[in-house]
Amino acid sequence: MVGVGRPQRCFSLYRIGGRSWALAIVGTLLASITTPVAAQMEFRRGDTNADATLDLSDSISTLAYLFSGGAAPGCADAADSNDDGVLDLSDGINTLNYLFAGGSPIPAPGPEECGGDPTPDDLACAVYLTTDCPQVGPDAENLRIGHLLNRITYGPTQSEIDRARSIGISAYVDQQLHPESIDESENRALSTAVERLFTKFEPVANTTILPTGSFYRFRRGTSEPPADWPADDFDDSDWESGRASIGYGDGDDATILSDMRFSYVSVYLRTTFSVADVTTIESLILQITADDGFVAYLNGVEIARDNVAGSPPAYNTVATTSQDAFQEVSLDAHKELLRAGENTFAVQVHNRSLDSSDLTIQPAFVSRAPSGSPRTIVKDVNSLQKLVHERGVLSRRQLQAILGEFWENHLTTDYDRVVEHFDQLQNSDASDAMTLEQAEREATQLEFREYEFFYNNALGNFGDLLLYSASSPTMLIYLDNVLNFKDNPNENYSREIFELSAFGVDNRYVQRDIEVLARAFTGWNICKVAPINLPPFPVSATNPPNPCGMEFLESEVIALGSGWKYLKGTSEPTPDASGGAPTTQWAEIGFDDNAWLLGSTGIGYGDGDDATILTDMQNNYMSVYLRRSFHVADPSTLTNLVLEVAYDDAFIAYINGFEIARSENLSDAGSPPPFNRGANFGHNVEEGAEFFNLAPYRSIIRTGENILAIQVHNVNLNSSDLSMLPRLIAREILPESIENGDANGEWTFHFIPQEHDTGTKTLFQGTIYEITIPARPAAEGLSDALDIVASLVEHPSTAEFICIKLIQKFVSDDISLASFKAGTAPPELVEVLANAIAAWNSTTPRGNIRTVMEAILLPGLSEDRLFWNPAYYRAKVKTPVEFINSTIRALDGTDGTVTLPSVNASMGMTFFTRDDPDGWSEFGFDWIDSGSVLSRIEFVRDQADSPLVWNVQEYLSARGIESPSDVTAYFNQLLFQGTLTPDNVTQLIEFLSTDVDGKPSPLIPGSADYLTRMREFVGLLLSLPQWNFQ
Amino acid sequence: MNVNRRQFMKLGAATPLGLHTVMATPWLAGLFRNHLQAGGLDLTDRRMLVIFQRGGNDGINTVIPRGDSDYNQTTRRTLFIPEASAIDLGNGFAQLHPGLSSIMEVYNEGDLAILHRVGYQGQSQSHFDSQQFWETGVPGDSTLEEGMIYRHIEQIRSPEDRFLAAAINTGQLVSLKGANSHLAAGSLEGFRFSGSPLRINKFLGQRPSVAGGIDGQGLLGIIDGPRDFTDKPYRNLVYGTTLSLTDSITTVQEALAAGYTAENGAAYPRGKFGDKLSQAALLFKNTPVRVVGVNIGGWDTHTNQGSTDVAHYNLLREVGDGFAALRRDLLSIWDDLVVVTMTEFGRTSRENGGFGTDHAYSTVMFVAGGAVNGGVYNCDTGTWANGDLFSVNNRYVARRTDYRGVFADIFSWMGNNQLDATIPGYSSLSSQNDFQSLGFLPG
Repeated sequence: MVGVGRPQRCFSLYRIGGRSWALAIVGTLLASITTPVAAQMEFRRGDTNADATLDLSDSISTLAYLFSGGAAPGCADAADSNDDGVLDLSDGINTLNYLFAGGSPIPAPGPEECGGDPTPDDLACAVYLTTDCPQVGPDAENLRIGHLLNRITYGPTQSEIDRARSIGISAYVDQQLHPESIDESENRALSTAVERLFTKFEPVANTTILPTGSFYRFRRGTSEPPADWPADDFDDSDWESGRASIGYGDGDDATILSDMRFSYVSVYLRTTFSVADVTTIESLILQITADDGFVAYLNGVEIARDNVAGSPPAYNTVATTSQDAFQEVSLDAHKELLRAGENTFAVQVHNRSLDSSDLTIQPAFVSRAPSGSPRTIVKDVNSLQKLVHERGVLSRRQLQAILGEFWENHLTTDYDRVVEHFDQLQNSDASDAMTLEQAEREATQLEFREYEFFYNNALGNFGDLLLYSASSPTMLIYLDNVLNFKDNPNENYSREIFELSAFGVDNRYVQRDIEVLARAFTGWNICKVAPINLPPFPVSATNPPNPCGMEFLESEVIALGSGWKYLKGTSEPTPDASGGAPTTQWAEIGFDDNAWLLGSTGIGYGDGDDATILTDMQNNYMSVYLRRSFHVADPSTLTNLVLEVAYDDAFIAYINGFEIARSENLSDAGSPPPFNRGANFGHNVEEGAEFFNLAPYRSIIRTGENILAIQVHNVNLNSSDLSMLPRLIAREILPESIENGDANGEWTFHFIPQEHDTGTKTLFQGTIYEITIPARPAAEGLSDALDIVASLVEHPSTAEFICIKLIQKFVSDDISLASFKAGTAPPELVEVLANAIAAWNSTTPRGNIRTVMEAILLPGLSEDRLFWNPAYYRAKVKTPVEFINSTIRALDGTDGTVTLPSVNASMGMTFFTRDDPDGWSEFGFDWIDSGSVLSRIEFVRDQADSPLVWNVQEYLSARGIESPSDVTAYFNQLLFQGTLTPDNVTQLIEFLSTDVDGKPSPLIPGSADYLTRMREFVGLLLSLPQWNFQ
Repeated sequence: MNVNRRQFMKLGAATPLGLHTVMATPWLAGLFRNHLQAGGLDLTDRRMLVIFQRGGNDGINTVIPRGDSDYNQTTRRTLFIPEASAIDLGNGFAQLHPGLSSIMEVYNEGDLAILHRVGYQGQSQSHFDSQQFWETGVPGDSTLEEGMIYRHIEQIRSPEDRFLAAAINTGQLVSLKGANSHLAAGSLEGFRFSGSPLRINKFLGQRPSVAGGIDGQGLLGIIDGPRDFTDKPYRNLVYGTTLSLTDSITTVQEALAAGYTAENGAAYPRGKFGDKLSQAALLFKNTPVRVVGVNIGGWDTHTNQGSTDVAHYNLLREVGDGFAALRRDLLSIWDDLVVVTMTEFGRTSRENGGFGTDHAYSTVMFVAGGAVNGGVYNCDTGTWANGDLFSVNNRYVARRTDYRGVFADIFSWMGNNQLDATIPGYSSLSSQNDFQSLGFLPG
């Protein structure tokens, strides 16, 4: 039995603009969440099959539905032939009696006139399939609420429909325009969802004590070494020497034991490192990559082991298992072994077997200490992307959530580019500033900080949004302003601030303005500060910290200039005695370079930057060899030794015969490469000097005389130039320095006066908007671009462009800057724009977004014009984020097992990682193609099917709906404001009334496939083309 | 011409295919192939692969005008490629970037036409506008939303044709956009509905016996039933795309099931671009598709462009390796295939301060195929005067050929005799110098 015990439902069919709209308002909604609605769907009683005629087929339809799996009637009230409020056998019989047995008349309405049910009962009339019945009372309010929630929220939910209905549309808009007036303190769903995206971060500082890649004395494990080999006073002078990692077989070792496989299973390593003050070491950590097992010793005492047995393991002991693992071992229990001054570290590494394909050992020591206060950070960029969805789905401050997304998209930056930038940074000592993991963490926090500003100021002043964006570290990196210097201006950002941020393409600016604005932005850069010194906006832009970032004193161990010996590479300088192969004897300390020529650096030819000119090099010889001695009184005092090399085209550098650095374009050229080897590709001095951290090589620097040797190679014989400009420098890091890799530091805007172009700058020359920035001292140069950014906000092009984008977002994408300029935009939208621009200009400063949004949303409500014009109702295609969020909201759901950012990406949209600076499109056209439609369908079916997303039983019970017609009517109302056609409704009811084989089968609440069928039904509803519109 | 967004051109004689004429029957190889006759030749097997280099490719370091003395280490401090490092093209003037070494396999067969100095009057230096113009074929109209190649397809379409074009891309290329939806999928493998066949069947249901009828079921029954939403923008696009989806899925899944291996030792470059090319090859082999489009991004080399390494080098190598692989793999249809590149603009003749180049005017297109008259066009002593490198505003290379003229030759070769309906204003434009055929395709 269907429909028993349900409250009354009221339906009507009404007409808007000459077309029929089936509006099915479901009266079964719980009274607490729904106010009664006036609209009614009229019908003719007895006309079960809704063909406007009362005949035998109606009785057959009724009986077929009740007893043989026939389709449910679209209008149960019509099928209720005897008007007893129950649909049963007596209805079929009543119709037969009336038609053929002179039975009593069928109760009203009908059979000629349409009408509502005069006797309230529990039956539904989802749809009555005639078009000739009069329609009464279009529920304009209902459509308006749907339209409003489609646009200023991420789609209707039952609770928001009820809220808007109860307080009225104007009041609802007003609340959304003042998000602070909406209390979110009790919104647990939101706070819980958002909390999950954050994590606690405790910044630490790692100080390297023994760097990776250090030099070791090593002994191949072909026999048992003396028992005291790990002791600090053991004499290892007859052991071999080489850089870690040491091993063979996987192509990742600096020192290769080519004879090890099938020959011996262990290697013994020793090295020393010095510690100035052991009390400064808070937490001592051994970082070690070992393939396969190891035992480590500090000053002769075992401190760590893994994967090998025996105390000590014998030289021929094999590791327990095969592994290649990086691990960190805390040595806090062994800290007392550390001594001020020299310490000895020893490690024996064991292979799993004689025939193992590889072995590797790569140790390092770091001291780790907390650095700054713990804080809460966004977990990762995926969590940040999810934040946009969580706010969109769960926050009641919906307009703010939408505008936050809008500004983030309008002023987009690319997280990936920021990561890439950070990953390439160096610290003062020329070591890599940070791991990829740290680069990702810092880029994530910067993108979050930026999005958060846009979100918090979503209804604020456009000038603040624009200046924040211009001075945001992510934007400065993304559009290359960190490379915009007075001698080499880069116009990437200045082009896009016109075209994409403020004016719109070609809207009252020309190429010359781009070039002038680029000069105004020269010197705009970034630096790191301690968290306490991070200025809030707008101070961060108007009075950025200076100095900031890395600060160090530099002393030159070898300066550019004299003292070099050099040899033209016309033959191999020190060929191997037996086979003539290249050797590095020429780079060693004892090599006799008396026969070499005397010269100064730079050395080379062809580009005017050299002190020693090799006039005969071009077309003659490929390489040149350099040597210079330098004196070190006490190697332990050399802190942060750095090799700086500006070069053309390639080089390899050595200290005392050990290779310490090489250019990338000789990476596969052998050790050492032959004298006539050309570089793999060219490199120029102008590309900037490269810096090499020499900490790992500290142990090869001797007291007294040392030799820096460099072989320089051309890209080919007829190359037009070659250059080598080396410096050996020591950097003393000043106490106030915030290193690039400082995990506690925060990136902020930084203005570099020395890099600022101080000349006069004239923009919009010859127009009434002409601005001239006078020449002024570099120290005041920051004001150039600050003044221009402020003036851009006052310029009419910005008002036009931003107001048009807001109208595209909230009203209709049928207007664009181009169609507005061409005079082809629809007049009503031009009127909306005129209102918006007037509102833009009405405030000081111009561009208050709340005022503009008021002017877009509120006028025209009473006469269904402007924003409220029925032509704009569901006339916009949902973007992916709108599609996803509206789907989840409609189901009162959560995101279940899927990750919303990846679903968004599958539909073509990603936040924070868009490559292009123009942001995602507001045009429906850009979102609909076969791949994205498939992704949309897959998503909604997955959502509807997932028990994690929504509790379908609870959802239906709470709304008091369970029959096919109830459920169809409810969703028709919620999702489509009741606008599905009667045919669609019938087909949907039929879908619910058939089993998985497509055979008619009544939907029985509580039956095995009831919920499954409901889920598939909702999947179908949300797959309908109509659900793509808002 | 004022065309609103979401409006499509109604040009020429061809009737846009009604959505309802797309049949649900899966495509069977050759069954419905219609044979257009033009000059006694069967042109319906002629196909095109379009590669869009997004970001603006530096034509000057792609095809080096060695004969122009303004190409030197002063104008291009770090980007300059020495003569000995570049690949000679044998005309005593032009050289190829060394990253393109593998494309010489195609060039040496006489199958690669290198077209320099291609652009259009009123060149836009905005990525977004200029890409739009190249793709819609109407420079200056940033509101048009219908692709030039889409219109070309409409002209060569016959009523039985289905599955004529595809983009291997997440999101449809503007070139292929129009009232009738063509396939766009980032990956062919994932292009299917998930779930059990029984449930998919119930979900999809079936179309009504006649379009607009009410006797259909499920999603297809509703979509192809009576339409509401009569005057809503994009209605037909959304309905049509959803409706044709099932057909495309069937075609693609059958094509995948038919199997594919790259032939003749073809080695596609590793990575996204190479994957897209091999999927394009699969479609060419296993479906009746006539146009496939793919993107390759990363060409906006404002900084650290690199001379014979790094960014630009790697991109060119992908393109060069891709062309070589396509020729080998598709040798069996090579005489009926044209592979063409486009990019929104070239880059400044002078290097900028960031070791890169900025937005400029004309640039280089590659056209390859068995029918192509290989060689270098617009980059020889006859067409390039010394100093032409800076012939516009002392910044850019002047255009000699309009991209629409290049495409007109390709479209004609594919049997399109409705060029006015494809390229608005073609009959009047075609008398201009920059529309004169370069002759890289036969007659």
